[in-house]
Amino acid sequence: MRKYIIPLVLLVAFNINAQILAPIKVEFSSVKKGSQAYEVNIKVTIEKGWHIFSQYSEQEDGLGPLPTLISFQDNKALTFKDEVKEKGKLIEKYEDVFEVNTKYYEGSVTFVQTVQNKTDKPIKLRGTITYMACKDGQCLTPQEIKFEVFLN
Amino acid sequence: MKLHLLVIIFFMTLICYSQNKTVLSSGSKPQIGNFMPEFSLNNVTFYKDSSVSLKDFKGKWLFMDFWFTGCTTCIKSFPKINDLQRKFKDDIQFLMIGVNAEKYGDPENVYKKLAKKYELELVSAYDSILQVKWDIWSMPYIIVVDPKGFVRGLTSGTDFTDQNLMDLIKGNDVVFDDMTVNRHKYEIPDVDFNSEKSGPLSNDSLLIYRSILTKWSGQAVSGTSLEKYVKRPEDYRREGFKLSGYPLAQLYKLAYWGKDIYSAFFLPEGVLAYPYPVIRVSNDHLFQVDYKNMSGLFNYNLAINSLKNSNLDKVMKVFQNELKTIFEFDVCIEDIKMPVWCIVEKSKNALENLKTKGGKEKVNVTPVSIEMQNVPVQYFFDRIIYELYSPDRVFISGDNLGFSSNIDITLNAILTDFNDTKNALNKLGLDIILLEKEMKCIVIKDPNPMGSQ
Repeated sequence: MRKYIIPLVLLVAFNINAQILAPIKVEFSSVKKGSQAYEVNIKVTIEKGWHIFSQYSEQEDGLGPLPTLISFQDNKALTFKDEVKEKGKLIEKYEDVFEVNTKYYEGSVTFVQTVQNKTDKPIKLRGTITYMACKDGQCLTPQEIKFEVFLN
Repeated sequence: MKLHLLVIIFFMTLICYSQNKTVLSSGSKPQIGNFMPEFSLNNVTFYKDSSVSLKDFKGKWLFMDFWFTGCTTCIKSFPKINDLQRKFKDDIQFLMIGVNAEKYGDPENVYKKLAKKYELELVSAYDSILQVKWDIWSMPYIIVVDPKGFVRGLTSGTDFTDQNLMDLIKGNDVVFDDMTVNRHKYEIPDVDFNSEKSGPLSNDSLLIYRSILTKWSGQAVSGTSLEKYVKRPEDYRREGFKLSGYPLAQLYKLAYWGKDIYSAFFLPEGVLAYPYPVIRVSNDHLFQVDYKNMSGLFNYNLAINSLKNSNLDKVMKVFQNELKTIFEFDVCIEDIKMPVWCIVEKSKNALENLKTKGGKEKVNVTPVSIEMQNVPVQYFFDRIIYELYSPDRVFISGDNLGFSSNIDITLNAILTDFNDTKNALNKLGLDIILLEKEMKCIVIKDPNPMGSQ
């Protein structure tokens, strides 16, 4: 009987796997910066009225908005330089209910990661960005977008 | 025996599928005007009973208010909801539901803290199933259930006032902002390039050629150039050349130049070419781009299994033919005078003065500075162009001054600000000027009724 379980599980998993994304547009690209050094750019364009949080938005004891999280799949051929930088107009706002400084972006923000390719072959870099978008009166549940960028 | 097994699997999956369907169609999700689906919750706090279900609230208005820990808006609304609960305690029962799925942290702990600080007395439960089951995707999400058990509102609660809640209780029609209206706007499907029919071509695949063009429906925007695609390792090439969220003009650009380029560039024969197509068609609605309404944008996938060796010309030809077949426009390459921005030497020997003193190649770029050591001048120019990019400001790419030595340079300027960058370049003896140059352009025209060309 065990054999029949597999397709059932697969099918259920497939049905649940709904995707919901916020009012943002995300563009992934890479720019060559030097010999085998690349900048991975994750450009997020945010619809008017909405905002998404910085990776460095504060959380205190479980209180505070969910910071944006960017992660890259481990790749032995790559060295990651520094942390993921943010290019955009950062807005800081103290939220009394949370007692923390929230940091967020409106309009647009670009997340930038510098990587060094240790080989001379083109490499596919995979990763995810998880973010929460809010506007006045409403926050969307945290969403995850998978991406892949070619370094060549 | 094998066939037998397959038949069973087939029926099992069929049953499973139809079951899922019936559950949905029988209204397992709360819908305005329908009867509220059954639910039960355990571990309810600030209430006389520790477990509750729908029937416990019959005869009273029930407001089920979903929230999660990171949701600023939800938490900011607590004092207001608490206030409303006090005022309407005889007629309305608020039931706060903190979503306690792992990724949301611990709402119970958060609520306790807030309850202390704001003297909250809201009935509070914690659950991770209902949010998923009822497809709640934005919070606060308040389900308004009338005393008979009918769903009367699915709302964020931003427009709750003493007055409209009073009206509601009195039996008047009150319309709250409806969370379900814009639901579709926030759904972004995957590009359908990964199903069985459109996934990577295997070595022994029967499929030898595939070209899929779909309208963009909000997927993550991504893509590459044909030039880069053909240089990829074969495994990656089997996935096909993929673009998503590209305007039609960009598709033509890729098909004819092979590059995903935004500046004027030199063709192999040394002639200058303009990146964007010149559109000369009587009805250009296909070229009008609107990300919000998702019009004028496309997803494209091209895979050719017979393409064992990298061959840019061939892939470009195929792509060009596809565009002709689908959109019918005629395309030709013409010499046209176009305005173009150019980085030049303002004072003589400006670049000579920047000549590198040697040392390790170093690049450090921040939003307000560029610091480079021992790099080709083209790196520096391309960086400036990249930062100042806008669709109506086309530059000549890279090394147009014929300066072959590497340079050391430090530029302090807000890199996205044109004037600031121009001023900073002036200080180094460089300048950005607008020229008019004859360039090779991709021209898109209405199809010639007499046949091609």
